[in-house]
Amino acid sequence: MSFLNPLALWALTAIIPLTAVYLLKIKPRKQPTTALFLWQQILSQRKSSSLFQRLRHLLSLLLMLLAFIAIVMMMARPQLGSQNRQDLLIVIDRSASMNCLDHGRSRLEQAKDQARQIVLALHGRQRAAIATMSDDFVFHCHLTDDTRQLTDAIAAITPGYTAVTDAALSQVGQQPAWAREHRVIVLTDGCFDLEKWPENKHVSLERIGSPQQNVGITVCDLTPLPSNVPTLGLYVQLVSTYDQPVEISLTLSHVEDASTDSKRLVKVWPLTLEPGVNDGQVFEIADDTPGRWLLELDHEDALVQDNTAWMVVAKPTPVKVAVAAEPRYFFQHAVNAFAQNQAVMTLSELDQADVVLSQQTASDAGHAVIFAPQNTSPWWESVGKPLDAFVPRVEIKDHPALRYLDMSALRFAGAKQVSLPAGTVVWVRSDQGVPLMWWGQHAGRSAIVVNMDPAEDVFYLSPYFPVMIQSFASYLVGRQAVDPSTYRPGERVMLDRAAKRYSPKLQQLGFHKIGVQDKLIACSLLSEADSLVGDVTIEATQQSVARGQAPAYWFGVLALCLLSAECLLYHRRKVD
Amino acid sequence: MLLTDPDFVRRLEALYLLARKVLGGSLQADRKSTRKGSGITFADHAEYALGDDYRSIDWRVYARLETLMIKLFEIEEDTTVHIILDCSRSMESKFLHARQIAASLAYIALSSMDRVVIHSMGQTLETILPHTHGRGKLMTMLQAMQDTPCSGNDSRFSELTRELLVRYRRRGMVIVVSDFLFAEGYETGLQRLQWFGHEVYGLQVLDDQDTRCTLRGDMDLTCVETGNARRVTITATEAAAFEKAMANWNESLKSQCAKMGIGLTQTTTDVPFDQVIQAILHRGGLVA
Repeated sequence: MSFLNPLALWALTAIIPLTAVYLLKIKPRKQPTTALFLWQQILSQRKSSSLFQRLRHLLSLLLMLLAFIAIVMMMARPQLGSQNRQDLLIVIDRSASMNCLDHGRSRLEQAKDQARQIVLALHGRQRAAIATMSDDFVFHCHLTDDTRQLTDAIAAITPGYTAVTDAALSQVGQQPAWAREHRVIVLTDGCFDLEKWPENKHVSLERIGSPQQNVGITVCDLTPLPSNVPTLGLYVQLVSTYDQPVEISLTLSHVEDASTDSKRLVKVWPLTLEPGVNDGQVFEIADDTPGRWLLELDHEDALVQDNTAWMVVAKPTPVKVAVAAEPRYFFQHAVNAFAQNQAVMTLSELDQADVVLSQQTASDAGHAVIFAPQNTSPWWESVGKPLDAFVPRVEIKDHPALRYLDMSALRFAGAKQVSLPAGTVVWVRSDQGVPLMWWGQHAGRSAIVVNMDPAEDVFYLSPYFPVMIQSFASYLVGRQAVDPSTYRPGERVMLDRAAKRYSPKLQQLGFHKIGVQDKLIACSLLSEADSLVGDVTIEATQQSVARGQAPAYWFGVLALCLLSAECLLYHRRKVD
Repeated sequence: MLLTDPDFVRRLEALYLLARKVLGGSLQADRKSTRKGSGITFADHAEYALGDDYRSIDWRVYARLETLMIKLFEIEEDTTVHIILDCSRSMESKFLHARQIAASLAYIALSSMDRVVIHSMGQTLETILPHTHGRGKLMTMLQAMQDTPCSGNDSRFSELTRELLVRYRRRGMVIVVSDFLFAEGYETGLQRLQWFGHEVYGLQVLDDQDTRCTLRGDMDLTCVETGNARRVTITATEAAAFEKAMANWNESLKSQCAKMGIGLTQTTTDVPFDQVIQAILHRGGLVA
């Protein structure tokens, strides 16, 4: 035997005072008197003439009748509302904004309480399922009329730190296959894109919480800046739900020892936050120590989690680049341009190089960036006549390797007709369709071929020449995409670019070591929708749902109260 | 305090002196008889009849009217004072006070050369002190009262008065010292005493427990005399009703006595006995 509401067993302690009342009743104090006949006279007069005495009997009768009626009603198990008992899907929002403290309790706890109340009102005659929504839609308990199972599922729901995604919202509105006649009750604070709210007559919304005052970090990035002195650049965007500008302090600290969480305060910025989304700000810090960094808002507000951003500044590993092209001076100069303070690239010997810069043909070592292809190679089949005037056209827009290149500024001087082997990925073509820039793979090595002669038109002197070499070299070794200093909950971290292997979704805020190489990453809330916990204008659906204990339960409580009152008011008195 | 205590006796003596002062002169058998005879106080004239004392012929009247007339004088005789002391258990808390008052009255009576009989009224009427005369019996009287227990159950006042009248047919004075809390009432007893020609005087002695009710809660109220019990829950309402009923009872006793021409003094144990006696002496009606 188990109890759905074991706290109710505490009511058994009422037996003690009831027993005490009974015992006191049968053992009154003995008191001698010299005028018992006067007492008898008083009591007989009260009995015969007092309206109160007569009313007391009537009151006792009334209480007993009411108690009897309450017990009968309890046994009859009455129901409120219509007899149509739909299957319920109770969806609890467990996004980050539900961690917001609202009148001393988190919104998630309030939502769970509401869910419990709805489950208690099922009375075992109605089925329900429990699900949560945040970055995805997860069932915690499938359709059942087992109240214990449902309440256990509700209790097992833990706070999340992800935002509600469109995918999760669309699943809320989908017709569940298991229910013919159903109703979906979403318990949420509404901190998501309201335009994505599913228009479905079965879906009703129960508003949790009220607007709260909060400030939070919604965007941040910390990255080394090219400079003669060690410098980090911090980009941060803050939001505020206050009606008035609010003064806050933004502190940046470096975590010196992760095991003891000892921090070194690096910088404090006093800021005035305007209501709503504030413009992003850039700060420079004369420090480029790699490792763990903390950006904190020194302000007490409703949502604590968005007051801290955890960030990681990675120590760059330079790409070893060997030059096998002439004139070597320009190529080495281009590499050296990125070998200084951040050491993105470094010159290397041919046998130790990650990437080889060559012209006309490829070397046998490492990946290659090849200019002005000639003859044949594994990355092109044949080279023809020089091209006439043409306009370059980017085939793959937003390609990471082309991110810093302005194609309109590149003339591709000396470009020739080429034919490429199958499997080659062309990034840029001429308007006649001649490949100008492509990527190919052969025998475990890859190469980027640029159909242009840098010696013509003095491309060596163009600022895009070193940029191109750095971008291509980084791309070939898989470092062109700089890891962000912090991730958002729900995102995955790329562990192996070549194999396209990702980590599981990040769920917890803070610093993490993931993968076999214990890659250090950071995860911060950074969600504008969740930080704006006070600006939600969502209204609850005007469709009531039964909550709380069954009417029979309250009839039982009423019967107990009536019987206790009758015992105290009537039997407790000895005067006949 | 013992009744035979010298200090108590001294206080009785003081009371007697006060009585003499208040009432003026000797108290010796100064109660007027309704019979005419050979006293010293002229009462009336009567026609001479054979056998009358020649010395009582009023010759001055004979000289004027030529008719033999004799002078009649009031007979001054002693009287019997019956003191009925309530010895029921209801008097337990005020018994000493009641005995002190009764002893004071008895002492004054003995000093006035009256005959004193003291009765205890409990379940039956017992004689504490038989017919006694003179101040020399003071200690006898005090000792007898000292030895009287307070153990009577269910005192029935009216029946006991009838018993008194059966035993003592000569008229006198009856002083009842009691709380007058008789379940069957006091009217019949008082009327009976008065109807037989006794001078009746009531002395009601109460204490704080009688007049005030401080009890609260569930009680088994038990009568101290009969042992009968009644289970009640006493609230402020019931307590107030009791105090009111007690006040009505005492007021009723007072008005009933006034209606019957019976002297009554109501006192409590808070008032010293000699103050009670002084008040009676000053007010008159009992000794004078």
